[in-house]
Order: sequence, then C-alpha cells, then structure tokens
Amino acid sequence: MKHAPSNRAALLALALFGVTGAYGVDAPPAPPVAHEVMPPAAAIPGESIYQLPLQLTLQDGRQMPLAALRGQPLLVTMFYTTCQGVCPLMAFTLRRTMAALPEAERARMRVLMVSFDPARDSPEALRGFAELNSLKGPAWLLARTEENDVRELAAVLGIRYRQLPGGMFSHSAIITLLDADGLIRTQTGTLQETDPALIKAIGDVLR
Amino acid sequence: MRHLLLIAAVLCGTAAAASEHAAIGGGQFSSVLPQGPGNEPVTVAPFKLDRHPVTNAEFLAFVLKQPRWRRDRVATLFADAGYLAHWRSATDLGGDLRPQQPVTRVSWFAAKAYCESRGERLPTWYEWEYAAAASETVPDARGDPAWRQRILDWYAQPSPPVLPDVGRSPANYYGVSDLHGLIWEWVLDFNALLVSSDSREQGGADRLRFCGEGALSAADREHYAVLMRIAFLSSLEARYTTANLGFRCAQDAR
Repeated sequence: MKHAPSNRAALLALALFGVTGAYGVDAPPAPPVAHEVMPPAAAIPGESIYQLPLQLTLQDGRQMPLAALRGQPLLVTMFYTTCQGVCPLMAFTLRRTMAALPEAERARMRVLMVSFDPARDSPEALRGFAELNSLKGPAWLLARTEENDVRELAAVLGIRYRQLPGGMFSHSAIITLLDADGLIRTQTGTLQETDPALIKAIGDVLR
Repeated sequence: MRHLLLIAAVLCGTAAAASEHAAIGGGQFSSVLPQGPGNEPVTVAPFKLDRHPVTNAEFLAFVLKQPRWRRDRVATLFADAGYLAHWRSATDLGGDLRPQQPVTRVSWFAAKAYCESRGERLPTWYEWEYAAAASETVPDARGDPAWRQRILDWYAQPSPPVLPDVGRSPANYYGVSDLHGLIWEWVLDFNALLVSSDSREQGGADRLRFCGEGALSAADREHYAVLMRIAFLSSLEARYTTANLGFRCAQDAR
C-alpha cells in the first residue's frame, strides 16, 4: 500500500518505454530512475483533493506539497490552535477514532489537521497544540498553509469558515476520510463519540 | 516638449476612461451581514472593481491560454459537469452566444483562476455589497425605496432566455454596471457567509451567535435582494456552476 505510487510510476514508465519500443526505436533498457520521467500530476484522478497545488508546512517545520500525502488514506480536518472549544474536541475525537481502529489499520492511517489561521499558527504553535492534545507519533500531521490555500482546501472539503473581529474563527467541524488517491470517501460531523460509519469506512478504504 | 506632455495627458486620460476597473474608495458601512454580534459597521479598504462582469469573449481567451480550464480538460474537483456547457465546444462559443454576454456556468475555482491570471482576485462579499449599495448618484442608496424597488423588480422577473450583454445598465456612482439586474456573481469568501451550525462553538454561546438568521440585523430586513444573494451564494459548493452565475474581478487599490 505504502509503495503504491512508486509502483504506479514504474508501471507507467514501463508502459511509456514499451510504446517507444513498439514504434521501432531500439529502446535501451529502462533506466533505474525511470519514474522521474512521469509528470507527477498526470495520474491524479480529476476529483482528487491532490489536484490542489497547495504547500503544507508541518509542525516540525518540514515543507511538502499536499499531493505528497497521496498513496495512503488520510483523515483531514481544519482547525486553529487558539480555538478553545470545538478544535480540542475534534482532536479528541480523532484520537479516539484512531484508538478504535485495529492496530493493523491504525498503522496505515494518518491524520492531517490544517490551520485556518496562518497568521498565528507557526510550526511552534502547531507543536504546542499537538502536545497539549496528546497527538503523538508520525501519524499526526498538523500543518499550516497560505491564506489563499486555506480557502481552496476548505472549499473542496465543503468547510465553511469565517474570521470573527476578535481573531477567532467560526467554522464547520467536519472530519473527512480520503482514500489513497485523495477521493472523499465519507465525511462526519459527529464529535466526541467515534462515528461507527467512519470506522467502517476506514476499514473499507484499507481493505 | 509641451506637445509631448499634452499627448501624454491625452493618452492617460483615454486610458483612465477606458479602464476596466473602477476605483472605489473604502469606508465604513453597515452590512446586512455583520462581522460579529451587534451591528458594528464593517470597514472596507479602498479597492478596484471591474466595471462589468467578465464576458464570454474574455473567458474564452483565458481557456485558450490556460487549457487546463477548458471544459473538456478541467479536473472535476474544480468544476461540475455543467461548466461552460452552453458553449458550442471547449474552444468555441457558437452562434447562439454573444462575446459580450457575461460568462456564466463557471465554478468558483474557475472564476478565481481567471482573476489570478490577470494578477487580480475575486471581490470579497463586503466589497461586493459595498459597491452594490450605490445608485447612479449616491454611494449608499439603500435607504431609497424607489431604488430598492427597482432592484427587487429584477429579482421578481424570471431570467430572460438570452442574457443581455454586459454594461447595458447605467453605471452606478462608482462607474460600475450590472451589480444588480444581470446575473449572480461569485465572491472570494462565498464559503464564509453563513457558517453552518455544525460548529459546537456556536451553540448557546451568545458571543458567537451570529450565524444564520441571527446574523442578519433586523434593521436590514428591507434589503431583501441582498439577503437573497447571501442565501444563494451560501448554498453553493466551489465546483458548482449555474446558468445565471458569473463573476467579476477586483484588486487592492495601490
């Protein structure tokens, strides 16, 4: 599962070289770096969230395109670190959801929480939120992105949000399950309790 | 030398007159959608707004330059199946459409990409509402019953089978046409207008009780036409397209 994208890349590269051979060019054996010839966006499905060109900065300062998360299912939410009410509850719900999964499934799931508040949510602030809410381990990705990208990500996830005069945000609290290709498989607004439909959908996606 | 200056002055004058943008001085105004509890005035910074909505011809030039926005190539994440469906083909308007009609059946993503291709952006809701409050003669005509009635009359009519060209209606105080009476228009923050009550932060807490009906100040119930805009825009998803939904671009004033 984890290697799905590179397998796909290799297959595509093979196919490309195969075509060259079929047209009578004496093709050399495929070089080991063959997957670099594939345009990375080419195979992303049209309805995939990974069509978004946005860049993430994670809580450890690492930067990566959103599309780099392709290849493994993902739970996605949006939040902000100075949020007192619903965001810790969303973190709690996600933690319980992960804990409710069989270990083999949990090992293959990741959680991405993207901030509405790029002005204040630095990697340090994201790290602080992760610590405060016991979001530990490599499965937990807390990220910031630029304001314009926040709006686009919220748009594809169907999340409404609005900054209030005091700097807080009002926003819908939705957890989205993406499959390995970035297609939305299910969404839930159930908080605090784990949503049985979500747990089942995760099992289906990983199957 | 004096001739040169004169020519320069004439050229500048011509350029300003033909400019696609109207400069709109900012200010404070009372929005029908207050930012928070109470009815605090909203501050709008000076900005520039297209004098008329983006046309079929302008949008066609854009998709020819950026083919990933052609209707046969656009990613379905960014536009639904109705995207530009009324054009004869992905690269041809066809005989039934006129170049100067406003482009419609465009998604928020496509509208946004068009404005970004011009180094601009979609207007925010507050910018749109601020500009749309003007009549031909005053910047805020919302208290004028005759003006309000004229706008309501448009909403009361079924839309014509063939959309009129842009710029046919009289320009308003700022020199902007068609804010009312032609089409619906995307705004940058369409997904910020009415936040659904999913967020637990909104439940009970008075300090955040502004969404939905609570958001709309009672004094502005008369602004029915603008409230309909908000209701319509907030019902949309970013990939949706409809036959009467177009857009125009804006930019910060420099």
